[in-house]
Amino acid sequence: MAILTDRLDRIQGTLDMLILRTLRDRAMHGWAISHHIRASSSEALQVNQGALYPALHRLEERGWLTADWGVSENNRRARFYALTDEGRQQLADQTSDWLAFVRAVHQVMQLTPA
Amino acid sequence: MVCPGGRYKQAATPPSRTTLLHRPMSSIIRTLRRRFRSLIAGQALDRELDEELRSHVELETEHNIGRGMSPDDARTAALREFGGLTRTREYARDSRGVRPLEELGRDLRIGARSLRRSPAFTVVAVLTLALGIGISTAVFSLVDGVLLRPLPYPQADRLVRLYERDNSHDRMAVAGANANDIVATSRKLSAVAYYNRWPTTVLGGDRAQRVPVASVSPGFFSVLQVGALRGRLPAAEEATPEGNAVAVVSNRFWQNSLGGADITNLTLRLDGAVVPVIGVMPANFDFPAGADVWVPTLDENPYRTAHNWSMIGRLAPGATIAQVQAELDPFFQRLKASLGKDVDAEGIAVVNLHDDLAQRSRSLLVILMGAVGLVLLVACVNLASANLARGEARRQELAMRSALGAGRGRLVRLVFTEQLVVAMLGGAVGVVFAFLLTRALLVVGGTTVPSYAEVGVNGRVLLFSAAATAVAALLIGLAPAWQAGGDLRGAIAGGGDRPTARGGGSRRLRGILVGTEVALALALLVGAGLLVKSMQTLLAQDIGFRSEGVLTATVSLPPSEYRDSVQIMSYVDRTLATLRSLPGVTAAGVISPIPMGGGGGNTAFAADGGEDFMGYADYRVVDSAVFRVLGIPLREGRNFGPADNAGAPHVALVNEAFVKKFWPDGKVIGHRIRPPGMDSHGKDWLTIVGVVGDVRQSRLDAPPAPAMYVNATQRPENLLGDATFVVSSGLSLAAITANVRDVFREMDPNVPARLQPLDEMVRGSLADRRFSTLVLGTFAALALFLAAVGIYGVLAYSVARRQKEIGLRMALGAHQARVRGMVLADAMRWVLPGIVVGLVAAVALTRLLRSMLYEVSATDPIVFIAVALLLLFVAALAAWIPARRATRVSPMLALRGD
Repeated sequence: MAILTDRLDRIQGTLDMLILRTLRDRAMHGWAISHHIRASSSEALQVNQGALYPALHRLEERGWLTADWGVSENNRRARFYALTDEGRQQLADQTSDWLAFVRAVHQVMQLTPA
Repeated sequence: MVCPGGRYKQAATPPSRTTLLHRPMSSIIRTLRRRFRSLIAGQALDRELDEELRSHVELETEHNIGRGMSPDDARTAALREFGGLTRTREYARDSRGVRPLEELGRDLRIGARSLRRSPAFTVVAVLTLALGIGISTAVFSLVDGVLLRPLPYPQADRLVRLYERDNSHDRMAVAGANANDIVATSRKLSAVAYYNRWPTTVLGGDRAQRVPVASVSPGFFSVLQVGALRGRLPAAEEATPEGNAVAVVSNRFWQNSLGGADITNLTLRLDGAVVPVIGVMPANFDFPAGADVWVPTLDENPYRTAHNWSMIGRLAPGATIAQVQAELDPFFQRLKASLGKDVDAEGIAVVNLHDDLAQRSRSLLVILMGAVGLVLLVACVNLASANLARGEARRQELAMRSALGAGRGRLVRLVFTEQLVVAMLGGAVGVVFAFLLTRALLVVGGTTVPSYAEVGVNGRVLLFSAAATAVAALLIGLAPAWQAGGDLRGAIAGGGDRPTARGGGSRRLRGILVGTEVALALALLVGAGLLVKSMQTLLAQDIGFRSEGVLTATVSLPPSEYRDSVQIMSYVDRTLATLRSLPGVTAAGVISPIPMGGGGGNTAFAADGGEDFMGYADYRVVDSAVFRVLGIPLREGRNFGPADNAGAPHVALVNEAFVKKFWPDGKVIGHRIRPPGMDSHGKDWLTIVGVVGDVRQSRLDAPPAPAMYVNATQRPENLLGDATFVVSSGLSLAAITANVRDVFREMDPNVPARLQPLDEMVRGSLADRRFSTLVLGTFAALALFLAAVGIYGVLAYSVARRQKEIGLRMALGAHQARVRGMVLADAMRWVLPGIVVGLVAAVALTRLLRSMLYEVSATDPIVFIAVALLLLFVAALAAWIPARRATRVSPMLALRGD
């Protein structure tokens, strides 16, 4: 089942977190980000561009990302996004929040009779 | 849900400061709002986002090529991918690289898709518009055929009609002697001719027929510049006073009655003369209307007061109507100066032929056009308000597009294009409607549509529907486009469908639209109401005679066979005797002309030995039985009796209107009158022996005029051209019709009779009114229906939006009645001003109807009040349904919804 970011985004910030995670190791342009998320989720998560770009700009404005025009691996002009220090801190915060959340949900679910 | 959490385990760090998940929702919304605003604000930012998205597509394209796709497929796939599985492609924005046409195409596709998502709305919208555009187009096709399209003759705008005029009449037929002088005198007319048309018995076809025969002077065909389809036209020297040298026949008559035979050696018998057929006219030639036979004639009647002819002319090159008038007026003044009382005309009236022929229909068509315009307007207003409501619900989508960088212009265009799609579909379906409606209008219209008019959906008519469609698109698209161009802040976060300050503006606009609809429908209904009341008044009118159960049979006796009074009366007496002997026939009589039959004869008369004329009265020839058949009461004196034979002193009956006008003291019996030129007894006096009741002679809507009745036994001459036998029966008319027809066939096989129930004839005199009442009434009903739907739609929507509030009120203990009252009051806030405005508009508009009203004032208070109440009732009903539904929903459900 493919999950569209429309739904994914229901839990506010999930997409933000995925983007931050994707950019942890290197700067990428929007297309690469969406592909990376898709590939690393075994095609389960498909990022809707209608959600991706607003999210990127949002994160940029918050100062968690920087963006610069550069040249892609095959000589295309593209806008590359990279994590800022603040972004890196956010990634850490959100990841731990997320894990706490997931654990909590797991616990609840396990108590529920199957 | 697939949980991607596992990958993040390694990255776990201590719990954090504020995160999105922990922040209160309202604060997030505030932030988002700010961000989106900044996204829309900057043009530079906008461009940058644009470029970024394009680069995304290009990267994807290359990726696809890398996977082995052709460049075209790769790009298509990339674009599709960019759209993902959802609506992303709709979030497309002002990409400056795309050509305008391609962009329009894309907008149209987006519009169509958006419409497919709400099929019910789309179908209703398209049908509503199609109805509006369809009837507008159909009525326009009438306007086009009757008023706009030139008459089917070369340079038809150069054709004129000529009338004699005096101080009180400006449209008098022309006397033959005057007409001949005009033909000889005029230099400003390149051709001029006179003609008239009478139903005449024509023999020589497959059967004896009474058909319209036109007597035309030489020059008639050169005025119209029409040639014969077969054979030739009459030469000037073939015109004779008898008008029986040669004949030209209509294509219709040639095909139907002469079997389309070779015309050499083809002859007709007209008034006893054998007349060779020399030509067949083209199928579309129909002048004067209905004529089947044309015979060349030359009037030698010297009397300049015998107004017998219609006259047409063709303006000489460069000449104008005013010049013709200036040329001929002095001619009449000279005539008057030299001949005095022998000439009654004082000048000439020259009018454009097309205007003259269209005169009767023009005002009706203009009114109908206005009416359909109003219906179309109501339809558009309806859709505009529906669109406003939908627009509210769509704010989220629009805000999303806007967030992705779509400029306001782009959003406005997008929303507008969607309405354009609706309008175009409506226009297309409307044209199909128009094809059908035009035919229906022609059928219903009957003789109201002049026969020269070629009515159909042609290029100009289609152009009109295109224009109507464009106007409709503007009207229905403006409001939502304006809405789209407005402030979308908060729409995404708010779920789009939340009342905001802007929502208040829209609600006001919707209210105004509802009011407008009410006003338009009211104005139309008042117009229709006035016509209906006129019609009712007319139908309730006492026509003065009995028309039910009376069969009429009209004949034209050929003068060649029936040469004198004795021969005429022998035919009449034998026919009456046979008719009276038929089983089921209770009475039979003869009259000329029959009331409401379209004929009439009016004459001046002198009284009591005087030389000067006392006045004018209708002249009718009757036998004594007619009054019984028609139920016309004898008010005073006696009916004609057996003693009043041809040798006895001539006697007459008069009607009450006659007495009232000429002998107001009522003592009319015994006075003598003399009409000079109606029969062969112009010098003999008639003694008035009785007074009969008034009848409406020419039309239901024309009051009875003074009339005299002369005795058929004494003065049967006028029975020659046109005699109507009237038969009353205890049986149904259908039962005696065949027998009556046989009587006439046996009496003289060469004298065909036209049979028609009298009440049909009477109703026929109301055909024009029936048509205008029916059509305008239908339009008004349509407008009322649309307005009701509109009011209902707007209210249903606003109630749905207030469901939560209503639920809350009810949860807090508000009574159902109170809540309903609130919803109703909300509706009436707009309906009542609409009614007031509509009444004011109606007062202004119904003045245009005045000429079509009968004994009803254009501001008839009963109609105005009744219509206002009707609208109020319909509006209340339309409001009541949503109001009721609002209070039916359980408060808890209402509170939870949203």
